[in-house]
Amino acid sequence: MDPDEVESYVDLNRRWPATHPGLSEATQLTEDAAEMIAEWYYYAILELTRLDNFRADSSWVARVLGISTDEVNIALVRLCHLGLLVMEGDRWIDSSEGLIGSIGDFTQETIHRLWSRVRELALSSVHDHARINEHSSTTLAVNSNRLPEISEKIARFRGEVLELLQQDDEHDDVYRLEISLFPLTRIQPNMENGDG
Amino acid sequence: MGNPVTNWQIICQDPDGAAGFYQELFGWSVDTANGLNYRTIATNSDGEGIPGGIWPSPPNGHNLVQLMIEVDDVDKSLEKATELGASIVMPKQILPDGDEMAIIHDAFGITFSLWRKSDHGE
Repeated sequence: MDPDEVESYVDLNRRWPATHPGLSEATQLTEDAAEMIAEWYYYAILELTRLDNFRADSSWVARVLGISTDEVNIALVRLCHLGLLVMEGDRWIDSSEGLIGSIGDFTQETIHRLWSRVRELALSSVHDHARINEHSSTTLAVNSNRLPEISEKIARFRGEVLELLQQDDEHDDVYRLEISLFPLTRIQPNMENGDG
Repeated sequence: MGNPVTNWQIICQDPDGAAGFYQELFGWSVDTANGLNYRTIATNSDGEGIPGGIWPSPPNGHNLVQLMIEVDDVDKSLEKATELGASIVMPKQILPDGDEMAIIHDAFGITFSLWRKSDHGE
């Protein structure tokens, strides 16, 4: 599904309810995908299933993530619907491998929703110094022509961290690695360079 | 065996509100002591009728009532349903209590659950 169509399909689904089953099914998938991208805890639920002490119990998941059991259960249905999670009795299996990668292809609005949630989460974690292992930010002057190269380096770094963590057979906690690179100005590079 | 409707469930944006409403109106009881914190409903009717439950709907989802139909084999029923024009909303899952469940969308826009209890046939 073309990520640019997610928001418009979601709107369409709201206007055309279940009376159009084929359309509704397709748009439900895109809505599920949009929620999946926008809500931090969808990824967290998938990661939790990899823990040795994981419990296939909505109340336990809700307590660990600090969300409601209803939020967990809505996420469960969506993850199962998308084929990213399989419930097998007392085991929930993350079947997302290879299906979830960069969110870079999704709409700006969806990504902004995810960032704002993650930012809230990061702010609330600041008070828990004992559990924050690394937190840093740097303000940089950039030549915009370098941005594709920088994005590539960030992707490579993220891949290296994932590769390192996958060497362990056992996992006992879930963290979020957040790397953001965004402009602090409203300058349109081409205009400022006199190209536009 | 046939394929009886063995349960129903209300899917609702305000599951606590719905639970309270039906408790107040009919004296039904709600129990969440299970692995999914599922609001199971007993109608307390001396064995008459069928039990139900309440499941949360996403904030922008629809409120609806869904039937749960018992089958011998969820996979085979899914296959037959799709041959008849249904689509799969949720593939077969094995719930924490061992029951098997899948949700399908029939050719007329109605969703329902295929269900196989863990003690099916015993």
